[in-house]
Amino acid sequence: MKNLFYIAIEGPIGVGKTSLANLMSKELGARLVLEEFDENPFLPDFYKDPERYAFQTQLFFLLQRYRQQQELRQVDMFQKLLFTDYMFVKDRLFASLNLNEKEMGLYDTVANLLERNIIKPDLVIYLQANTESLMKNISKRGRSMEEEITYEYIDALSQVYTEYFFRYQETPLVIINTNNIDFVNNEDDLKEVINFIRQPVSGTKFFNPVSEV
Amino acid sequence: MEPVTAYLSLGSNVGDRESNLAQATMALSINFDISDIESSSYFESDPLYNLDQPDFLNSVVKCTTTLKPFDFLDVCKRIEKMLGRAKNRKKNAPRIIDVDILFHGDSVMETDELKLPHPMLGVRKFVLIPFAELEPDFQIPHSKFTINDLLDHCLDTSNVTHHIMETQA
Repeated sequence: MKNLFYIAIEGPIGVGKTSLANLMSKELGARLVLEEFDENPFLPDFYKDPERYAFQTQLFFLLQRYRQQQELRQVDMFQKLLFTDYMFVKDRLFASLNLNEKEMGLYDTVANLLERNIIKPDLVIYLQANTESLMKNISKRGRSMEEEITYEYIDALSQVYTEYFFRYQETPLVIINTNNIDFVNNEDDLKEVINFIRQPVSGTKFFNPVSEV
Repeated sequence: MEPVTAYLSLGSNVGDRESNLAQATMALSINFDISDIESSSYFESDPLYNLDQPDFLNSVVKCTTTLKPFDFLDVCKRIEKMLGRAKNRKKNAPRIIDVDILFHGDSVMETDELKLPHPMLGVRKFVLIPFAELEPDFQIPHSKFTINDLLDHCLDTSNVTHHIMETQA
């Protein structure tokens, strides 16, 4: 882990990003910067008329995220290991579900410009799970803002994530298949994940626990 | 990225089937990001789903690639297109060439476009038999089974026989 300073954890809603980031930072004595949810003034309009207000809503999220990432720059990156539970690209993945082709083109132009000033993680951990497990986790944690989320939406989101990370090669990447492990309730599973991440990673490495079935 | 080993299933039941498989294999081999190509023999098989069509010729190809799964899929689709497979053909209709990814390193995923390992692998003798010829002890990622185990438990009763080449270089 010597040359690791900044590890970002990503994955679809309900896969356990925040839990893993919490547990790992505690276990390793690292700092933790979690995703912030600020109010988006366009959101009420978006819920009423998604097609019409999608672009403003997504652009606001993008710029807000950019600001948060700039604050990350103020943190001394080389003092202590840092974990985050999101990446800058997150908003682009969500936007691709809500924007039409033309809007997405414009959005990408802006996002690409901003991305130049984003600090790249030294390692990305992508958590994957099937849609059934994601839905189960979401209903278990019962966040009110997630009540209306449909199976179809989570499935589409999960596919966008899959395609992104199975093309990704900007940084070293660990892909963890969480279907058969429970790092929240099982300490052995968490230890196994941490040991796996301690090994040096170049390119993409897979953590695919074998199911007993 | 560092190279991984990938496996593909090729199938054709329209036109010059031998030539179609050979051309698809050749097309893979001239891609800069794909190397170490090994092909199984060609096998004859009955059509499984839509029975009212000609028999298939199938093979399995092993290769090394530096392409990521979805970029690799793009290449497979381009090969299908290049060899003239119609884009909006009906499911299970006759085809000039079918190029399916079976494995891509340790990748496990489930999307509409691509599922890895290939979900139908275990129920298709026309894939398992040529695969076993190349690598019977191949360990399936994310499982305890080898190709031979799958073949032993395969319920597919269709005929898959060694093909005798009509043309040889």
